[in-house]
Amino acid sequence: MVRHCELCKAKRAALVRPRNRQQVCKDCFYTAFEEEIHQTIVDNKLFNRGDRVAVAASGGKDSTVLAHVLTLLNKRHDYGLDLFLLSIDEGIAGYRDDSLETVKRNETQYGIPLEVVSYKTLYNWTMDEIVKEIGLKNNCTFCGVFRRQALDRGAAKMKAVKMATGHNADDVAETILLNIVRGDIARLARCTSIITGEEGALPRCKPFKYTYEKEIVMYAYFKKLDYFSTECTYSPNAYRGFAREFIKDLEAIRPQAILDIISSGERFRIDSTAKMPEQGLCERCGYISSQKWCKACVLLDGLNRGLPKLGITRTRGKGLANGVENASGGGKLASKDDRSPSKANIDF
Amino acid sequence: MNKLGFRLTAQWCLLLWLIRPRSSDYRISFHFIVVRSNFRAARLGVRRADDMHLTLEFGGGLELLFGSQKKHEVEVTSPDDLKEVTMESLLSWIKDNLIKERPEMFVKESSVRPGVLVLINDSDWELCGRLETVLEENDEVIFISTLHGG
Repeated sequence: MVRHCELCKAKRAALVRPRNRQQVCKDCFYTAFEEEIHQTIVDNKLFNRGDRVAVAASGGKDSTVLAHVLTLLNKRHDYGLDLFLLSIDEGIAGYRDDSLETVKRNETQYGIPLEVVSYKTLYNWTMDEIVKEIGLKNNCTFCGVFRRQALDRGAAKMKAVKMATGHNADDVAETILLNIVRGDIARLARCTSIITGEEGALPRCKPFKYTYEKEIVMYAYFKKLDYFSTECTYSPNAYRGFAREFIKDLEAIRPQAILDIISSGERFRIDSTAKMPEQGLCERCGYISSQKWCKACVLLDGLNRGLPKLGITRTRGKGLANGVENASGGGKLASKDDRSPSKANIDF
Repeated sequence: MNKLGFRLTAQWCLLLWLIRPRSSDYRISFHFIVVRSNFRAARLGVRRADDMHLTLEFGGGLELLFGSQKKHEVEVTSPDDLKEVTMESLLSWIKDNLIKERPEMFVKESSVRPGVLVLINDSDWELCGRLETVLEENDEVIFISTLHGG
C-alpha cells in the first residue's frame, strides 16, 4: 500500500517526522524542515542584517546541513548575512585531514569562503603529538577545550560577529541530561540557551536547537549532501556515549521525548542560593575563564612542562591554583583592569 | 526471469494498461501495481522461497562494519523455509552472514540499534511496519547511522 503525504495528499510519503509523527513526502519535508529553521532564526533573533557569521564546519552531517540551509535561507529570505565556513584542524591523521577535504568541497558547493585554523599554529601541538604524550585517556578533554578556543580565535581573526554551530535537538537533550548527572548547575543553566556568550566578544547560536538528528540525516541523504562520517580515530567520550544511547532509546519509544527534555531544561530555575562560579578573564591569554588561567592555558602549560596530567585530575581550587602559580608564565598577561565579570560562556 | 514469469508479467501489463485510470493522480499507484505484480510473477515462476535478491546499502559510518563497502548485492535465504523475508529475518541474516565487526554497533536485540535509520525503497521504514515489513525481490534497503559525529 502506498501511503500519501499528509500535507500535499498527492505524492508518496517518504518519512515519518519525529516531532509529530506526520507522514510527509520529500518536497513537503524539505519545505517544513527549512521553514522551521527559518522560524527558529526569526523568533529568537539569531542574526542581524549585515552580520558576518562564522559557520563552524567539521565536515560532518550537522555542519554540512547547517552550511547548506544557512546559505539557502540567506538567499531565500534575504537575511543579508556575510557567511563563511570556519574549520579547525586538530592534526589527527586519517580523520581530520579527510574530513577537511569534505569542507573544502563544501566551500565550492555553497560558494562561501573557508578559513582553517590549526592546533599546530595556535598551540604548537597537534592532537597526534598530544596523544603520544598523554595516551588515549583524557585526550578528548584536550581536544574539546582547545577546539572551543580555536573556533573563537579563528572567528575573531576573520572579524566575525557571531558563530553558528550545528548542535541539534538530540545534542542539546543529551547535554541537559549530562549536566544533571554531573550536578553541573552552571552549565545546566546555560546549555539550553539558543544563544550563548552574548556578554563576550563572540556570541554562538544553534539554529538546529529544535531540529531532530533524524531529520538532519534524512535531509542530507535525500539531498545527497556531501558529508563525512568516520568516527574519530581516538576513543570517543564513553560517558557522553551512554547519555546518547539513552536518548536514542527514549526516542525509539516516544520521539517527542527529545523536545520535552529541552523544554524541561529551559524551564529550570536555579536556586538563588546556589553558588555559581565567577567568570573572569584568563590572566595569561585573556580568554574568558572562571579560574585564574583558562582551561586551555592550564592544559597547554602542563603539556609544555611535561606534566600533561595537570588540569585533568579533579583537584579544584587549591591544587589547580598552586599549579598555575608555580608556572613560569610566558604568555601575554592581561592587565587587571581588563577583568570584567561576565557570565557563563564555557559550554561543550 | 523465466518464460512463465514473463508471460504473466506481459499479461498483467496488458490488462492493467487496458483498465488504466485516466487521471494523472493515479500514475504512481498504477506504476506500483505493475512493478509489484512483476515481482510476484517472477517469484511464482522461478523461486520457491529460496534466495531473494536485495540491494543493501550502509552509510553514515556503518559501512566501516562491512569492510568499508557501502553497497552490497545479496541473495538472502528466508529462515526456516518460510515463504517471506521480513526486515526482522533480514537483520538476523545480516548479523550472521554479512557484518564483519562489532555487530553491537548495528543491531540491538532483534532490531537495529536506536539511532540507525532504515529506508526501504527510499522511504522510511516507519511508514511500512518496521520489523514486520515483508521484502520483495530486488528491494533496496538502506541503513544510515546518525550516531557519528557532526
